[in-house]
Amino acid sequence: MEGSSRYGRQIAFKGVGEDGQARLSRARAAVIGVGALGTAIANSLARAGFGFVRLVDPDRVELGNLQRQALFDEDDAAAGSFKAEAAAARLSRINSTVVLEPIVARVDASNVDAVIGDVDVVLDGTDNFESRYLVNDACRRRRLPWIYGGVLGDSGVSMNVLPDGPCLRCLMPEAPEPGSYETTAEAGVLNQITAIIASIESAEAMKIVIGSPRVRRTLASISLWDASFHLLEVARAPSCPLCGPSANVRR
Amino acid sequence: MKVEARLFATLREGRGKVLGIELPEGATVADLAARLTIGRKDIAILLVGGRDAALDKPLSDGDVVSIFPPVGGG
Repeated sequence: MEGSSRYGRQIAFKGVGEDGQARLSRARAAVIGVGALGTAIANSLARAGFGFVRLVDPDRVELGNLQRQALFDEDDAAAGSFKAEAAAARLSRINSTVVLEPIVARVDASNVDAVIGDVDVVLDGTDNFESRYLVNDACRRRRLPWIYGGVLGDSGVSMNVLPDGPCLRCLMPEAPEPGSYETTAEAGVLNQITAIIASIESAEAMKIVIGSPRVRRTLASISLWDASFHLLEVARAPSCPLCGPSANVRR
Repeated sequence: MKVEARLFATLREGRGKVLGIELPEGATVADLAARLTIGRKDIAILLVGGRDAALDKPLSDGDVVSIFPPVGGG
């Protein structure tokens, strides 16, 4: 079959196997944001053989994206192609068995439920906390796993937000105000850290949809310039508006 | 009392990764942040012993305080 030749190396890995590959082929993922993280995530999921990948981003490709946004080229930048569409077009040539659904839109309160409503896992490729909190709250309501990832400078963090674990609000009760925090435009960002965080998100998404018992339950933090790698134990916060005892009463 | 501050991402610049800090009894996380010249807006994830904490949380000898800035790029 096509699967064994295309995915042979992945199936040979015991954590995946034939059964895991079959589950991947039925798995549905949404990638929110198709920039540095999102392109690397989408590349990974499509090559790995996810059945369906939704790509959501409102922006067009620019020359300044090419330093780190893996699926785009100078032609895309010159044409001003939409990122979601350019990424889907490229990935369709890499793995035509994956159903790719580009959506040219910013995730907001009006569309978040539609964007995440029919998938198994949501992956974070956004560049802002407003979108992340929207996704966090919407996924929490549906008990849907999503994977937080963020980068800045040489550093990145990622956490799996699982239905029975802490959510983003357990760590950061309120979203940092827009304009109050450093962005990659100011602090810069290395393409190596975006690739690493995207790979971590993608591997965790594979584990989640395969049903692996090895899904990570810690907050991962990596800084490349001083070569430090940390996994921090985190817990649900009793004060969390979504996960704490008062939230349970309201539900 | 002495606490351990573990700084992450851009908060390490000019400060270091892991710092042992002497504080007077009754000091809070806010006092620790002030000692490290970390402003309120530069604090996103704040964990004391792995649990989310508020800035007014009183610290105890030996506490491990992990502080992340908002890491929001994508």
